[in-house]
Amino acid sequence: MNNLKLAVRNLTRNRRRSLTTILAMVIGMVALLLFGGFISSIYFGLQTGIVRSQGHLHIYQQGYLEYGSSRPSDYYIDQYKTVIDTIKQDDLLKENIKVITPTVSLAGIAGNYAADSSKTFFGAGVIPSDKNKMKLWDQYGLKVVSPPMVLTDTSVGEGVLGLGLAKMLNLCKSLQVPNCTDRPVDSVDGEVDEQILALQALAEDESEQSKGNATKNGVQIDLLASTGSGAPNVVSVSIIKAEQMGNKILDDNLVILHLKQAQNLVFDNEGRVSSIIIQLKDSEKMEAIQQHLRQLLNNNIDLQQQFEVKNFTEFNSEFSQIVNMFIVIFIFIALMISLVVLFTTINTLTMSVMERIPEIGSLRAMGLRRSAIRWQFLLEGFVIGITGATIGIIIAIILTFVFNNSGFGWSPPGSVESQDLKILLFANPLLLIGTWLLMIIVATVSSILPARHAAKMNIVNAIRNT
Amino acid sequence: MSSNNNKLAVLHDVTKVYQTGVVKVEALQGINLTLEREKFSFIVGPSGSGKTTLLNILGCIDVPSSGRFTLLNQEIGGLNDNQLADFRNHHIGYIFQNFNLMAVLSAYENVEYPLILKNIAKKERHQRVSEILDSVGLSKRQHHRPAELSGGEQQRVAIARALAKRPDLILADEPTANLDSKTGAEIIDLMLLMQDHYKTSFIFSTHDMEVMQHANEIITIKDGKIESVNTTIMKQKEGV
Repeated sequence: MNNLKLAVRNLTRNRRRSLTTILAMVIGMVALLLFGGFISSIYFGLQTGIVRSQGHLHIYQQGYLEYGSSRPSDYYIDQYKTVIDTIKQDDLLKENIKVITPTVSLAGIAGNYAADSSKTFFGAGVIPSDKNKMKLWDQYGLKVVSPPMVLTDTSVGEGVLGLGLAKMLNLCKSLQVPNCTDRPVDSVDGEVDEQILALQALAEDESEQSKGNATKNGVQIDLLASTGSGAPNVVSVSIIKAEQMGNKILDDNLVILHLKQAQNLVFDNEGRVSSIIIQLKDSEKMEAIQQHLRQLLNNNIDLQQQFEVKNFTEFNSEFSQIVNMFIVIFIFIALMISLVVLFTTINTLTMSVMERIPEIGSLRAMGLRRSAIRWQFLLEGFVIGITGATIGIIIAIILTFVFNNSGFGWSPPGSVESQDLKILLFANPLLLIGTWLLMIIVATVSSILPARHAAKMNIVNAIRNT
Repeated sequence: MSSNNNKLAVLHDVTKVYQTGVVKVEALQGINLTLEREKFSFIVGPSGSGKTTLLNILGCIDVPSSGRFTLLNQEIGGLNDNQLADFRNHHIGYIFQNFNLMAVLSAYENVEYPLILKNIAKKERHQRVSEILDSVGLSKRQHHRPAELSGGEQQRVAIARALAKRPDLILADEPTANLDSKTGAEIIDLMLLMQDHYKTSFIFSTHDMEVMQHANEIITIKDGKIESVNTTIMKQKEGV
């Protein structure tokens, strides 16, 4: 008869009470695990979405993140191909990088002067084939299908814009966008009208110059931005599609165009880009690669620039905010459940001690030390903990299987792609092991007070207590 | 004259005072007593006379408020709580009025438990438990739990449990009080048999005049003081 066997038998004295305690623990454990699995799903879903669209790391000229958004034309990477070549020649980086692609960020005024409409915009100049490669990243096996870009590498001069911007520029009808109504057009005052006319003249002039380069697909709009010298510059872009961009700000403002066209608009120089996007094969190595990149680029005197390398948690603060919010909720729920388990187990073991006072006295009279009595009740708490925690894990696994095969879907914040709503119970081993250990520790800690009470009992009084 | 080796217990001017709030109860008042080994001794006296307190002190589950107490040549007053527990584990067996068996263990396991506490090897444990259960006539009931046994059977298990570890002293606080007279007599006979077989010292507290006829020694206690120590019965028996 070892102590563990004795503890198990003691817990069967009052089966209903022990089962109720274990059940409370199982319910808490299942709730915690399913919520944790859901958070894992959000975490990996969000990360997959961000890494597919924005990559893991961005390389900028020093100061770009702080000041560059107001003057993108002043913060650029010069001779970006040299930078990319330098990166590609590094053994560690070569091995770990999946996609490396330049991008140009810009802001200005988009005008559909034929419809007498214009609006401020921000845009990105990209290489479509690289962006399509990035959309295939799926480290966590979420199997979300991201449709490829409608832009191709050969369709220079074409672009895509957000649905909201399409409405404001009166492009719904022209682009034949379903469920999209053009903005009602009112007459405008004379002063504004003059500005519009001036821009229209500039745009028409540019359109004439760029004729032959632009494709004839889609609807032509003009993008006006200032160059580094402060002079206005205009390019014509044939918008071939208006689509949802994931949130209202992007919907109302974003224009995606070819890298070359964006370079011409902002820098008038095809050697410059705003940033270089790097997508890694493995997110786990992101911080190590980030550090390595910093050293590689900033210690290379041939590059003649100082760079900053930011990871997606730094250039996309929403990710950390969302994840932190869920972690705080998880901790709060874990705390509440731990308290319930704590008090339920204390109550159960205290009742058990009270019912066994003469037995405790007899055991002490027979020669059991106080520590052995204490150990016996701690062991009973431990048995309650390990039973509840283990059953909880098994039930959580069964419910996860059922839930994951029920076909629920959702779109993570900032994403337009719907994906299956999965509970990723096994994605983070710490969740399973941590929750399992937490329940066992809480139940064992709960038994400290009753165990102490039992061990401190006066033998004579205990034996008399019948 | 008895040598020190024959002395089971020596109490010199032992007192026990209980303080409950402002009320002070002197349960034992200057007890002087010497008990010899391998005897069947009874402590008798009316309710509240202090016999259970004396038994508790002799069983090392309570300590005197003053005076000296030596058991098996060991000065008990100098032992700490763990040492006292170890001393009880190795030298003392208990038989309780309410049997106090562990409800979740079978008769066999209840008897085996004190042997586990003494770290006795499994093979020897099995041998001892089987032998003692056979001696008390419970071999066929060894896998039953206490709730499935009668009062007499439970007390037999308790006797077996106390004897299994082969202690020097067994203390029994009114062991027949919860049994009918026939079963009580059977239990006393059984204990006499066991005492004879294992040469263990037995000390009882009891009200039952009938069982006293089996005693080697009767210690009468009243108002916390020893009124008499009667060894006549013992001498008569020894004479026979």
